[in-house]
Amino acid sequence: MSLAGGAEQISLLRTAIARIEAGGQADAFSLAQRRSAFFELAPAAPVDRGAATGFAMALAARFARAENGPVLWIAEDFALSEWGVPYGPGLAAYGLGWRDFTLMRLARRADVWLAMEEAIRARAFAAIVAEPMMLAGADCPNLVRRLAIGARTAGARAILLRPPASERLPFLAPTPMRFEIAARPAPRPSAGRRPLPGRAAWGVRCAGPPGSLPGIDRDVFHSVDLAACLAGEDVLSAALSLRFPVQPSARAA
Amino acid sequence: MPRYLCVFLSSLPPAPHESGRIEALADWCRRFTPLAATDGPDGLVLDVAGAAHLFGGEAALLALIERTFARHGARAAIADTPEAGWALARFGPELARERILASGDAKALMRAVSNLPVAALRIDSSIALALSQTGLKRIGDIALRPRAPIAARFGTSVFARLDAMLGQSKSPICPRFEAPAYVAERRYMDGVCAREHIEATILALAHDVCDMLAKHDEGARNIAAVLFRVDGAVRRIDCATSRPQRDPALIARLFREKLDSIEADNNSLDVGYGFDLIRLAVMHAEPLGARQDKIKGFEADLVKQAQNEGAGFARTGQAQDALADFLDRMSARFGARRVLRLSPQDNHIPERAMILTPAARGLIQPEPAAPVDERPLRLFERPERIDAIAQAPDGPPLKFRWRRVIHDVVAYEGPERIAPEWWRSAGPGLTRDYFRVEDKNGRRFWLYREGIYVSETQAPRWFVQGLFA
Repeated sequence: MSLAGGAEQISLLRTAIARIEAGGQADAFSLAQRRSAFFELAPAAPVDRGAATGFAMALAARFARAENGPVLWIAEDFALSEWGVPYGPGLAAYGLGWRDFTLMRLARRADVWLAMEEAIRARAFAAIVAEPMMLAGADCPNLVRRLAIGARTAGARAILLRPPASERLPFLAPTPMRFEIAARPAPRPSAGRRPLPGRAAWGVRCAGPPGSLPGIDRDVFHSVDLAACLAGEDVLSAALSLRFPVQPSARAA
Repeated sequence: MPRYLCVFLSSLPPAPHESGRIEALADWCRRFTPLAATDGPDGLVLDVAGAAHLFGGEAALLALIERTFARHGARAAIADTPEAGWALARFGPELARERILASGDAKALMRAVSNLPVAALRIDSSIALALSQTGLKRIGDIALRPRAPIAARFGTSVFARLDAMLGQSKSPICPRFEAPAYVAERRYMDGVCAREHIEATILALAHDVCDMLAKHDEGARNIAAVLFRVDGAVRRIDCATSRPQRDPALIARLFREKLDSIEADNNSLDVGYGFDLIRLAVMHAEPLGARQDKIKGFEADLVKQAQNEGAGFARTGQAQDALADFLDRMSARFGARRVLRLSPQDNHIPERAMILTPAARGLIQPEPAAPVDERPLRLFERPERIDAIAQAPDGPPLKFRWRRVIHDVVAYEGPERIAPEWWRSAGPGLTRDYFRVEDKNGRRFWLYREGIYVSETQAPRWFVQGLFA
């Protein structure tokens, strides 16, 4: 590319960035949402797996409702043994029916990737959730990037529910839709003097590349509850509480 | 009129490997007829009605089988009943052509078996010996005598066998595999070894069976590809579909997935010197509603158009087909037990309220009513034992330790008492008190205490069975 060509590219990028900034946050999120259909979710800690599962299920349920289609959950055998099987009677709280849910339990991680890629191409599901037990060097960023590009090309919604993010296991692909999920106490109803457990609520931290979701503080967890996640049209705005009071809170232990 | 070809293998050695077993020989014989069965440890029985002419007639088929199994000391016979065939194969004349009885000729059948020893009735050896000692040495000796005295002394099995031999009572065989609804096959002079040739053959056979299915307005639900290797080994590959299917390309694709998975598992197809016969059999077919079979290129255009228009999942109109195709392909690739649906069960025990059923079965049960009490999102396959501290032995938990992490309970709901199934014959088990608890960090668990204090146990145990979001 000539020097002049490079300057043109930079000029174009600056114009695009200026347009995004002028459009405000919601437009930026809508743009990001349109461009990316691949979500990478990680529990903040191993014991937050239940919370991360709930958040993934809430997103999937929302896609299922919006597109009137089924949900596919692809999990490694080991992950299901360790963290339990998605439980049919528990899906009702997310607005998912038994019929809307298909489970693939596969023996190997490589099979999970293969099934996910096939499911993305098939255009048969409103949402696809993949849950490998572990990630290793073989699961290189290129593989996840390939899935992300495949999802975008096919117009599929894919969610990777991965092990907890850490220094040793950084997030894999430069997708803007990367979130770290922690459990959060929700307003508790009471029975007399005794408080009852609240409904599902999460602390969601945006872990995408810097600048991927402008205007969102990437260092704090934002509180999101199930009702917010299931309501509305814009998944991201609900997920990040753009339409609800943002309550930054400290990172979960 | 059924015709049975029975084979007696007098020197079948003990089989150290799979291909030497009598079952493997029966599978090999399925190249002649789909109805092949083992008959004891040293015999085979084939229903060759309507199939013998494909191999040059009954005499040629019998000679071919005897020649093939010559090293096992094979003697074969063809008769209208499996009992007569069994007797002739073991006790019949030396000349092979005399071991082929004319079809539907009862007198010839009687003549052929009357000179055989009573042991040819396949009765207990002690009864056969007792009959011989009384002078009844041949089947003809007892066939014309009054039945009552012989039955009173030697039991009714003698005449039951005789009736079965003479075709006066039914004596069905039990084939290794059920008879397919539709079959197509290709034979090769030399074995086919290359994977692409095998796939091309399966595709061609899929076209053949789909034509047959179309004539009967049916679709395939279970399909088997049977690969006969030149050295006698037989490989069977089964595929199931979640709905009646009549698309040759899709059927061929299912088998391609299956072959991929066989290769991926290091369980190579082991083509050896090649396959000389490849058969595609529709084991189970169901009526397929009136539908337009695919017009080449037309459907692809529709999908492309829908994609260009940005049509969502539900608007493409191809969603159901795409879903069924995906489930079928994945079931073929990973196995039907890997692609599952959640199926509700009428049971109040949480782990039995849901089972996982293969999605390829296509059975979708009615949606159950939503549970009255909140249920967890994930349920452990085996409840995990925890250490819990409660205010009282029968009180709610205050704190518990699970996977080496201590959780302080700040809110709980319960107990929800779930009684064991006392009406089952197995041990009824202990009553469970379930608690939905939340720790101080907002993590929610489904715990239960097993056993009612004092009345059922002195030391109730605590378990975690599920996780809420």
